[in-house]
Amino acid sequence: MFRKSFLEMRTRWLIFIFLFCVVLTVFLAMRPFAGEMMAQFEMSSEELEKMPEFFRQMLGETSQMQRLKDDDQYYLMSQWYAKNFGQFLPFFALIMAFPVFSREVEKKTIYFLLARMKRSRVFGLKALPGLLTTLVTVAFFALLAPFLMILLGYDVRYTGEVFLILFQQLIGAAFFYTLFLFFSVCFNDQIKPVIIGIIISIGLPFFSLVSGNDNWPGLGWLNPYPYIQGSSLIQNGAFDGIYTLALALTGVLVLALGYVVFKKKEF
Amino acid sequence: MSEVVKIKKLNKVYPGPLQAVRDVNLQIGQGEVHALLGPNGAGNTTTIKSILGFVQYSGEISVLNSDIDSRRGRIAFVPEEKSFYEFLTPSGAITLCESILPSFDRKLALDYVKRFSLPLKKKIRDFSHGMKTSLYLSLTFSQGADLYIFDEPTWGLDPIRRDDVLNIIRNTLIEGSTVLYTSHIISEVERIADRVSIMMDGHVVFTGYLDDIKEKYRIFYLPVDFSHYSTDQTEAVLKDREKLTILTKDTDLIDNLGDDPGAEMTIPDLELFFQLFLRGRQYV
Repeated sequence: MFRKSFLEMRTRWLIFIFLFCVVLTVFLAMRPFAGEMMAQFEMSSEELEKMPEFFRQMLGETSQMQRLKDDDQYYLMSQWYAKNFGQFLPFFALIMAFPVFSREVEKKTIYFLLARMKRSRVFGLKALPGLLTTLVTVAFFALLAPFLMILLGYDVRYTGEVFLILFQQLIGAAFFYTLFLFFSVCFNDQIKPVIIGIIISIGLPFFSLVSGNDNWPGLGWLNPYPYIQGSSLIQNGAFDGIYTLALALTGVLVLALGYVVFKKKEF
Repeated sequence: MSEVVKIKKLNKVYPGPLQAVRDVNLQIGQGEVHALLGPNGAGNTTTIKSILGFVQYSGEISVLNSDIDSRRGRIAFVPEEKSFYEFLTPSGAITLCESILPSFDRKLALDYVKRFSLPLKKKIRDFSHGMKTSLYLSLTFSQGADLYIFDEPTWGLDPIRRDDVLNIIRNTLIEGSTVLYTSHIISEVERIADRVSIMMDGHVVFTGYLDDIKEKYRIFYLPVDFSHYSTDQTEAVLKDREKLTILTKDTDLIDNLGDDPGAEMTIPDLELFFQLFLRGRQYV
């Protein structure tokens, strides 16, 4: 059954493996040029003062740009975990989770399983292979990037921060997987879970934008992107334990809710 | 004879609201082929879905003397849409079934695949409708189940394959097992069923043995103005411009009409019985 589940997800998984490989190649290939590119943005504080606030925020602090130029470890953390790899994780989880149940219902293959097995067993056999594949893939690519950088002679190490950010990315990917799996359980076609998943993936950063508003300062907490991208770990080395617990618990609750909906659902 | 499926006061209301099944009571005995007949929307499929626990319902259903969930390993089901995982080959499908179904017989499945001339290494997505149905049936026949539930199992099969499938169900599968069967092809049902239940508007309006239908029921064609009968003597009455058709099992009426020179009597086959039952009950 695990084999069947893996065969089912093979094509979309391979597409993302290819995508991650391309992104990883670009990430590695860009390292020698990162310094030169950053140098072009280097400007005096007077020049920076004259720029609009929007551009200044986009460029970041000059100290960070300098660090990006000189520090291989910082390049790995900020450009791989926070940007190139991290930002894809919710979409990867979406692609892995959305058809798990909705495709079976849409194609009417679910009857074969439901007639012959208890719903609890069907749920486990359907939900777990996708979750495991998602987590193993995330762990593999999260660890592959530093490995390849070391091979290429860069000054990179498997520090505690690397493993903490990997842990955060696993928690984040699992959370998104359970969330999108829930929508896969709820709908009888594949279109609706995808659309809702895309809206959520694109819409969550909106909370961070709104949180800049004085009226809604706490809303940024609802956006898990900074957590998945390891922002606080990269900026000040702080592991966010409370957020980890909250996201993990929410994931478990959403998974349990998906299970209850699946148990009660009519086919 | 012990009962493999027992249904008491089954009711199912879909949102709308639409009452699909009303107070259905049904027993299916060990070792019998029980056919569930009815026009579209009569409640056959909803009854099957209730037995299999696919829908929420009110009432009591027991399968193999227990609730359905503890008996799933002993049940085989062929739905109306015989969709199997299209990325698999028949070989992969057999391996999958072997891994999840405790009493699945791999060798038997391979025999059926060969018997139905299905290519073992071709993806199911490249199969015709008939081939997909044949594969689904091959996998189901090899399951070693105690209860087989078939919903329109021969739809889309050519006549030779259909004949083959009916022979398997009637002669091979039924040994030690029980079959619940629905079909709109009455001649098929007549060939394989021991007992028949007819559903109409969510009710079971008739349950009986096929042999009893031929033995106990009679159809009379009478002049259209014939009125020497009471409605409680008839099961169905059908009037058209030229004649009056009566279905009855009332022995007095059968004797009286049998002596009437104006009456023409027929022993009903299942097709005629079913049609009269459905179309003629409104006049009873």
